[in-house]
Amino acid sequence: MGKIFKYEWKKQMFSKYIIGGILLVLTLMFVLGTMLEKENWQTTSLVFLVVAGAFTSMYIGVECLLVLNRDLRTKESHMLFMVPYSAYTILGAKILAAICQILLTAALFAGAFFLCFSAYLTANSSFGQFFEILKRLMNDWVEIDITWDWILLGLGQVVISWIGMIAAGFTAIIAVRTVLVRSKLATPLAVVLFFVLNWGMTKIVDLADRMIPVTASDFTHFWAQLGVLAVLAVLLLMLSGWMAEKKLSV
Amino acid sequence: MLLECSGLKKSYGRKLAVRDMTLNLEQGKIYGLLGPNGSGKTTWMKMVAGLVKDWDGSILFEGHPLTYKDKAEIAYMSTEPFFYSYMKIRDVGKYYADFFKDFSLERFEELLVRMDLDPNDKARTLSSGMAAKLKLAATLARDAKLYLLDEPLNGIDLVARDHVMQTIGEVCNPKHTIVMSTHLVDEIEPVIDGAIFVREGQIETQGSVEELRQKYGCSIVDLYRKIYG
Repeated sequence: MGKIFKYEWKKQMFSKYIIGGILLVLTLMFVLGTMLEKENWQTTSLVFLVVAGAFTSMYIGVECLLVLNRDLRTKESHMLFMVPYSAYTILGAKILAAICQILLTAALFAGAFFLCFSAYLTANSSFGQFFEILKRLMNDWVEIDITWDWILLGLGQVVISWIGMIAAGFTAIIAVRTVLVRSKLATPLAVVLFFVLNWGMTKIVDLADRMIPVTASDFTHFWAQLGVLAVLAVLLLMLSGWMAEKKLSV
Repeated sequence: MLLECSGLKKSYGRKLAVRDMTLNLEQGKIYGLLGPNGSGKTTWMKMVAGLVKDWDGSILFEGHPLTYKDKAEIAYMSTEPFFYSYMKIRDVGKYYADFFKDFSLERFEELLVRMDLDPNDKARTLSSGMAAKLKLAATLARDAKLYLLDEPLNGIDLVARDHVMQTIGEVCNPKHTIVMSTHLVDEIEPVIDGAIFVREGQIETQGSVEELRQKYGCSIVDLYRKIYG
């Protein structure tokens, strides 16, 4: 599995270089802003870090799906499926690579925030002030009153939602490629099926949420939703593995 | 028997690509899989290579039902280029070395020199002839029990064909079985031990080259003309 993982990782190297470049520029901008006491630079770089963090994690996830679709649409699929591994192992490595790449992107942005945070502390020796700036930014820009609990929940939601999205994407692409092989209609149909599966997952999560008493805390509802989403993601991944093993011709 | 296929059927939607193929391959022999485009040659090869799924019938490899693990012993060469677009020629060798224990990087490099391929060239920018040579070099650098070569001479010029046939000849030994699908019957007739003629997903006729020549009273090239002409 490790070897397949290695080659999957290489397929998206270009995107990772671009993300690294963006992070470097924004972090430098914040550090310089701190050193030169230019609050505008600090604010702008922090806002862009937040926006770029959300966007690039999303892009890396979507790119994993685009890569799978390209693999199955072209003869590059032979590279994947000619090796003496089961389809479960091959897809497992692909999914692991997708998740790790999303986590890496998130970790890189967390690292960039940490660097900005350290630079700010070195210059001002005030953790409280930095957190205040961040809090004010979140309040002003996205109207969220942040607390550590919500930060953790938010991170959990991001990770599980992305795994759910990848699972839906893998299932949609493999299902469509199993039936239509290399038809021109396969890609648009996979996109439609992807949205249908996501819609279905949202509906099931909502239904499950309604079964929890209204009096339960927001956190209980939130974790229950994440739990159901995680179960659905695992079921979809198992289904895509079964289709690839038994039905998918490349 | 190295490979025993019986009653193989595979359809894509309503189209029956392989309708009833029964054939056996002996160890150490070279076979020509002959037939026009769309006769089911590639589908059969891909079924044996484990790339085509959901078929009916049975395939036994060394006496046991074919599984994904047998890909470690079966070297399949597709007719189209299939290497990852970011790969250089040397990366192709590393990829094969990573996944196939029977792959020899030394032999691969030797074949690259013989086929005039530069390890630093990008695999996707190669001309069709050069790409065909790269596929062959990667496949023949393996020490597999069964080689499935789908149109190995496609896109290769006349002079290079001699090199290719010579390289394929070098792979021949009692441990290796080779199946070549091609339209260029005259090129392979001198080297094959057996011929399998396929039409519309079925075996039209098959046997050793000598048997077929005696039975039909003509060469394999002429038999091809008789069957498909």
